[in-house]
Amino acid sequence: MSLKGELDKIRADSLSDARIEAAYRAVVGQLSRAGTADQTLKVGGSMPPFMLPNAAGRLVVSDELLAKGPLVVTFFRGSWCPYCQRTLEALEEVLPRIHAAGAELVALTPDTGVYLSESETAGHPSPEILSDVDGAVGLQFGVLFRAPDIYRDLLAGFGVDLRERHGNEGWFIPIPASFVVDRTGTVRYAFVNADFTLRADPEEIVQVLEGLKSEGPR
Amino acid sequence: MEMHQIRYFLAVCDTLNFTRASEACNVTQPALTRAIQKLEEELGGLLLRRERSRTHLTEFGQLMKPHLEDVLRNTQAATTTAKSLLKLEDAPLSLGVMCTVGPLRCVGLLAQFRKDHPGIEASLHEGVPMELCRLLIEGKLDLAIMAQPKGLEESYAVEPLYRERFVVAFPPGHRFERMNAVKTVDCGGESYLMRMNCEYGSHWDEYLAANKIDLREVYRSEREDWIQTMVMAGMGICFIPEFSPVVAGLHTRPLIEPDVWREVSLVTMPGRRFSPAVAAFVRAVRQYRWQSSAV
Repeated sequence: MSLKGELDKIRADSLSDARIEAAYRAVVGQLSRAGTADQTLKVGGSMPPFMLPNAAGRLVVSDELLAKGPLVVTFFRGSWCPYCQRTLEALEEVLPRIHAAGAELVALTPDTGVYLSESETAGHPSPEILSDVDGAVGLQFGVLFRAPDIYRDLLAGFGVDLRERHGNEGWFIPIPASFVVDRTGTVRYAFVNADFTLRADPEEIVQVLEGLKSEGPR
Repeated sequence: MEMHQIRYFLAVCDTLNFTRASEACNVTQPALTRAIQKLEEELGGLLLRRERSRTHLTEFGQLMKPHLEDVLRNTQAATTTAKSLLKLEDAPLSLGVMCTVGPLRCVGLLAQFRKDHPGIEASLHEGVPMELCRLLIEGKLDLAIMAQPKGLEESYAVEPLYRERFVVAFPPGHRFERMNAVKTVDCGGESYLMRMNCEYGSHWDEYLAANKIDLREVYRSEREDWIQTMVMAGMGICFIPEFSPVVAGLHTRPLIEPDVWREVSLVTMPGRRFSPAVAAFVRAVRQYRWQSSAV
């Protein structure tokens, strides 16, 4: 089944619960009203450089990655989010093709420390997962927002405490957007949607990268 | 949320005046007002209350202010430090940092240095003290931030930066949680995770033997993050410098009777002439407000 098919299935299952549906509508409604998804980094824009720790505590520098080739930057909400987990798995499946196109992939989440490792799948060439501490890089990409109260209560009901996971009490989470950046740091593809159940199609990302490869070195 | 919205809001917090805030941010007042209204929409509450003569922060504004300051500060740190590491090869400044120094402790210094000296590129090298000393002697490092329990030989120039207490780290729910400080003797019988890169490594063995503490060593690792993750998983306790934890949720208490402290210093080679870049960095290290553990 395609990623979209699987995400649709997760959505159909979970939104049958009235509480989850109300919280989902609150998030999507808040983002739509504020027009958050329209203010994010656009195709043609410059990616802000960043240096963030990975699950091993090593600092990863965006310019070092760009020195090697194009970069896919994807934001996800955390290992508590089933849509994010399935999307990471789907990206992992196409990782060999991303590498074959000479590119790298990093997945950024506001989760810190031990919660970061939860997202890694043992023994797989998992995407490099980076801790976007306090959502600092998410803010520069324009994807950061504050979770509404009803959504926080819902998460609390599932035992998910973002204060503990993020190491701050801001309740900031990113829109799970994906970007493809060429070696000059210019955004060449962006997928941003206020509806967090909709994600970039990994196949589309691979095609963008293969297109960049055929452009040759710039 | 957008960065400029947060900047404008913080400017109003500083001045409590929309006119002065818009001057400080170099934008028109309507633009500033619109941006803050947008931020209020996004955050789902009113941040400011505008009255005729004065502007106040609402309770919600007071609640959000520190979080917005944090995210903006980290944005600057994430970007400036990334830029400062652009050129890893032939960087004019190469800095060694002992691997047991918590990474977040140096980021503030690096960000400040980058801001003050945007033209100087620096490279960071992480290592154990012995390796850093060797690289200093070979001239591959200009300076190092490190600790050495027995003190360094006289052939190095050593300037103390801060003192740091060792604490005992344990998972939530552990019996130590109910104590304000943990006596060494209280650690008896605990499972123990050994931080192999700890510059005090061999000292802990002597220390434990001298204090007749019987610990069951279950694992040892060179990686600080692994040890801390294993502690969180309930596999044992570890002794660690106060500012080194990177794993969220890790609980710590000061280790007492006896106390154990380390002194982290700036180490350079005496007699070697500093390049302007190195001299600027040494000045920055000296001026930086390093925080020591509370006594």
